[in-house]
Amino acid sequence: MEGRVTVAEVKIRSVWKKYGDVEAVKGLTLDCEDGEFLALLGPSGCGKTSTLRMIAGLEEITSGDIFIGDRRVNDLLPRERNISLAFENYALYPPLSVFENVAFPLKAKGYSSEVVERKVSEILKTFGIWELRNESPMHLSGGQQQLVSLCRCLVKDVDVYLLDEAISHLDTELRAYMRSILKGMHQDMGKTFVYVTHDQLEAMAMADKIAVMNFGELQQVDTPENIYEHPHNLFVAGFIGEPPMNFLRGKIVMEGKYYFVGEGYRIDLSQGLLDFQLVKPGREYILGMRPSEIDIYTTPGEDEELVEARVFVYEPQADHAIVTLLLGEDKVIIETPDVRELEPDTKVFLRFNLEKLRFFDPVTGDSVLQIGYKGDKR
Amino acid sequence: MREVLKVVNLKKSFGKIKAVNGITFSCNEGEISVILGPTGAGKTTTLRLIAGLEQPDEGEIYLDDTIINDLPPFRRSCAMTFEDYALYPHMSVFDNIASPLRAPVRRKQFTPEDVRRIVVETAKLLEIDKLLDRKPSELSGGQRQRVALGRTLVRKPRVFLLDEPIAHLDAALRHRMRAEMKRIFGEVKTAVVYVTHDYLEALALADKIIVLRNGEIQQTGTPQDVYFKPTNVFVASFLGDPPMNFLEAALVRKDGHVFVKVDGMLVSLGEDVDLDLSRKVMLGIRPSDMYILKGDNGGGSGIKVTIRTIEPLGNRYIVTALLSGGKMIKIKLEHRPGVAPGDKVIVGFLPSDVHLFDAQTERALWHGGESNRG
Amino acid sequence: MYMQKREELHKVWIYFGLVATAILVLFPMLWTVSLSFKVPQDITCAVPKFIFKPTLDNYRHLFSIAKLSKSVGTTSLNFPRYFLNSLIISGFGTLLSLLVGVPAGYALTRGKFKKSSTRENIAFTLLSFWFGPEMAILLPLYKLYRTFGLMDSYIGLILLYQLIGVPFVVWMSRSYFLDIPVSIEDASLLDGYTRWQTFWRIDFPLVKPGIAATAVLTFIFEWNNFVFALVVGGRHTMPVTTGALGFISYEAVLWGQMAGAIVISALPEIILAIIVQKYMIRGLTFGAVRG
Repeated sequence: MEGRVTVAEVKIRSVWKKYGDVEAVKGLTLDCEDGEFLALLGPSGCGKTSTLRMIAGLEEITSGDIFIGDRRVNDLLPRERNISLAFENYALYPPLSVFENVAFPLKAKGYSSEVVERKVSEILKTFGIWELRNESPMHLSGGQQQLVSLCRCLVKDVDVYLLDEAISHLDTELRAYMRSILKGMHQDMGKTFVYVTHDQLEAMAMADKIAVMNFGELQQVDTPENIYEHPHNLFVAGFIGEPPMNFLRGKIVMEGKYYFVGEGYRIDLSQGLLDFQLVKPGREYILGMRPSEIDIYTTPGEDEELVEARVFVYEPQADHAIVTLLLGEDKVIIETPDVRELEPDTKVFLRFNLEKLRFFDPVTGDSVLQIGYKGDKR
Repeated sequence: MREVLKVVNLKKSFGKIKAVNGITFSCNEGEISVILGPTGAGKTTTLRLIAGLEQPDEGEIYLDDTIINDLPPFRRSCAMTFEDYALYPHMSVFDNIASPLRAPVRRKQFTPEDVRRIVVETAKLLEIDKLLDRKPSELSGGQRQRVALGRTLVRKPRVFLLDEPIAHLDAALRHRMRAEMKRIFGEVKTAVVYVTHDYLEALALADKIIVLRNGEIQQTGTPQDVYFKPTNVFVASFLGDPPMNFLEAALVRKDGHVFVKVDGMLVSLGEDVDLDLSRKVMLGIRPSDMYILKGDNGGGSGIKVTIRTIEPLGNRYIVTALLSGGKMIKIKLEHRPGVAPGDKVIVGFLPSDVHLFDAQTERALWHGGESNRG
Repeated sequence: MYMQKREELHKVWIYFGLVATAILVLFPMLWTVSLSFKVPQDITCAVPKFIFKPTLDNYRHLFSIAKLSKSVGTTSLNFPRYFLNSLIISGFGTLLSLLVGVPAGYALTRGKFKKSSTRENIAFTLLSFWFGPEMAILLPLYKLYRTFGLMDSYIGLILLYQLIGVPFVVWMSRSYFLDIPVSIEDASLLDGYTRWQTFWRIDFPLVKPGIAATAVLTFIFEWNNFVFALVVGGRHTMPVTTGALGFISYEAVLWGQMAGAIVISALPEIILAIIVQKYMIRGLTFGAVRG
């Protein structure tokens, strides 16, 4: 890490990608620092794979520039860009064994067979597929093939590693395990990784920075924790986090104290800090609260006004429970550490964590204000 | 509660593969029984045997105390949803849901007015009453799933059979549908057999969980039983994300107390512990039951580890750490720990959270918690 | 900018290639059509004529030949009869192929076999009949038909044409049935329908377009057959393919009439293909993907 000469940051500047009339990527400007793990996260069709393919050189850049290090790579072929790619659909060579597939790029670069032997064995063992080294890829399951493809990508020594849904075909348990392995490898290697995924858990777990995309546009780029706590718009807020964020539609109203009034309920906001330059009484907003940010009680509060709701369904989860509640006309999901069973239709009382209330503009979807957030951004 | 379905020593092989290898369980009215296991465990085969789509090689299936092995599917009082929904592509949503009511076997029971009434009622319950004229190809995944559910609910069978009904929906929708299904089943009070590979789904929905692996039942019990008192390593590991950590350990007796010695740390199990001290054991501890003690602060006894990675997942943090021998363990925390990769810390846990398993047979020997018998 | 010019030039080359191929393919057919409207001099003249005075004589002769059939030499020409024969033989032949082939295809898809390889083996064996060279069986065929008095009979030809039709129908309908997920049939069984009822309410409606396309293709293949018709056909049952031989007589080759016969013979196939075109592409590609 310290002794490296090349600086392998990736700079994307106003990049557009059009397939005929379809705008897959719209004016994307994004930086990935040297040695950083950047995740491109979004639903299918959001432009993340097109972006990765443009960085790799597999797609023409319709307009804009991409820099790797200090080189403008727009007109360079993939092999001239000093990158390594792990495709979503493996692209393994059937006649070669697993070992030979992974060794291929090293042999092509001219490494000696001792070095090749050592490096390939090491990475196969790290990914737990050493026993399969003599098999043909055709005899392997989809998940195993994907691991081979990953090994082949990571065994090379390049500036930037580009991974496209690299663990999507593994079953859940293995995927969670691989997240830690990949993260550990990235820490050890200290190289630049750009990782495409639609799974927000993967992005959160592994990335230093997440770039959330939707419909070809960048929604927000930030650290995992910032994106989780301070999403910039409804899309990001709803996409990150499981169970997903609750969205309540209502108005800020002054009735002695300040309340958020929804359909059939109201939430006392007086203990929180409202910035009236950003949030106007009388206006409609969408309130966002994560399931873990709402507390549930079976008795009404004594010196504070709690919000009344009815239990719709109670789902135990070993060390916590997920309760779906009817709040006026809306349904709200909460996560509670209290595992006492609640029958449907039970009346309960909710306290909203006023430090975490997030308001979104109902028309634009943009974040307007977060109560209690002492930051410099919206 | 009345017993509705009973399955006794069911066996089914496909060629050399023993898909179902001697399964026995029963389901009661109004109860949700979840068959939980990894892919290939035999869950779907079990369901298909109950439905009559496959014939067992051995064993009996009883519905309301009557043996139904020789009844064809259309004579069994079962309704089933399929993992791929299996909607009829050339029929409207209405016709799909009405399909069971119009079967010749049942035609005498339902007049066309009855059919219309029941279908519309069911559609309203599932909030798809506006979609009755559409074809399946015009619906989203969540809508299709509800149509499939509607087709199952519309008869009043003795047993509902559901095969991974929400596996292919996106996360948000999955949560919603799970809650709705639990509510609907609670109201309908039929026996439900629900198949899934997702243990959280099982914990959320089940009155009874049947853990299956390679065609054999590993454990049957309530969600509490199965989670807090797993009978073997497989069950302990399968129910948990990240899975339970297993560490090599040995049992020692010291000053009248029995301790389990793991990586240099001694954990007291108490005095009255009836365990064979000569057996090699594995200590199982869930990631959520571990905590980090920083540095070497005096009295804190625990396992020495080096932090490897920290994964922030929003409402929880997964810390991966390495023991001195290179073994990897995971710790689940609610808040970001003040440590960084490379730090050497001590990880502790309470004796009441400890599970002991025989290192050879993998069977459970001891569970901390209320009782300390395995 | 440069990219755009490159793409446009690309398009020009593609269009050029397409037009050239179209001309290459269509020219013989268009020429034949033109021949059918030409007088004999225009047909046989040294320099081919693209512009000419059209005549309907050839067609008139084709349809009036019936009156002269007994008077002209050893080969008699009765085009309307041949056309009718083709219709009868191919029509009923296709119908029989469907009646036999579709259920067989279904059985080979859903039936339970002891070994899974048996299923594939049977299917492929059936298909190999289709590939098999017709020449190989001609001698025993002739002897067999002679013995049983099946020569020059409609039944004889229709039965023989099953060698063309049945394997094809079985193979195609098998692939359509394979496209139907088993779970849909299972769902129907659990809804309370028997397997027979399930076949008619679920499988059949879903494969109808594919079967229609297969039927058209089977008709075309049977219509086009030459060798079988030549060997076991006769004066009464001759279809258009062998009937066309009559245009080559001792005195002259009646090019114009032959062209006219070709045009008319091709018409049913072309019309059917156009009607079913939409289903054909879908039907054929389904089969290809499943294989």
